[in-house]
Amino acid sequence: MVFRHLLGFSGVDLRRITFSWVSAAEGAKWADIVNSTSETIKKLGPYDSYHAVAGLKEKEAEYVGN
Amino acid sequence: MLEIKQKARELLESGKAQVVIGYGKGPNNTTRAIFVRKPEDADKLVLDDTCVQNLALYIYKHEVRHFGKEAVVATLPVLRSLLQLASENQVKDNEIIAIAITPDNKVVELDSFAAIEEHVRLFNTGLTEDEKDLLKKINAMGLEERWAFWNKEFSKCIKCYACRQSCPMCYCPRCAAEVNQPQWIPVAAHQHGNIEWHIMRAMHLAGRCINCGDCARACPVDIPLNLLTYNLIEELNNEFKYTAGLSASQTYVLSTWKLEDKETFIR
Repeated sequence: MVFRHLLGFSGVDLRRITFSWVSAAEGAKWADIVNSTSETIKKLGPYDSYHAVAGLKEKEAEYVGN
Repeated sequence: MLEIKQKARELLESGKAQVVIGYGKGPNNTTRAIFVRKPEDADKLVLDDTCVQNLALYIYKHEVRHFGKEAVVATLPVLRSLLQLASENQVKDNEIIAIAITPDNKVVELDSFAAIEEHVRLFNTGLTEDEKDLLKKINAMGLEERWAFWNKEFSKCIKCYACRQSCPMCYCPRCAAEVNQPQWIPVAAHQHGNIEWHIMRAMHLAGRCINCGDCARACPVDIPLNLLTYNLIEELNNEFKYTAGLSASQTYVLSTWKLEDKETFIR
């Protein structure tokens, strides 16, 4: 709860993050959660604002040569 | 201020303390931490509005412990840090003498956690209205705007780790940021790593930060780091009615389960 809130406060899109508690005996619940989460994310499309930042990392890796 | 000097001299002369950690004059009208070990040096101590650094940072450093029994000139954040450190088993009861000021400007000597707890209760320990307003401002931003705001702030970060070094709660001998097998947090000051570092640092202070503000003051590029910790303080207060640094015996909020805890985030 606290971490989720911190991410939201830092401007991360919370619709893309799911926290859940699934027991090893709850296979169906697990499938449900994964399906619904990936469906929501597919609907939202690529996370461009994050990729823009993550891309900087790749650029820097090129720059330092590794 | 005179009474602080007298109290420090008294403690050093009587041998009740071997070192007094306090504020002294620094260059350019600033104040800095000083470590007084001789009674005649007690005159160097000052206490005014510029004395904002959290001196609790020094109490558990082995270089300072080496001097012997410690006394510390304690403002409210120092006292709360002491209690928080005590609840994390970093300081023992009766190990440190706090020289504190009551709300009516009297100097008192607090030598046990019970005495410090009682003293802290005399003060307001919640966020101030100004601090809450700053939080509201960020929370009122839209998602994209908030992301852009923090990206702009974090892009200034040069990964000097002054926020970590200035924080009394960051006492791990080896920080996760410096572990390189595996490398959890990228070392270079690129944007991706900066975001990770700052979110991780804030999260490690959840339920532990006592809001002294030293991280933001230490930051050489003025990132408003205390906004992140205000947010956590507010959130823990709302969700768990929890405030750090009020008692030496309170358990860590994120590792304790209580019947009345809300579990609304789990589905």
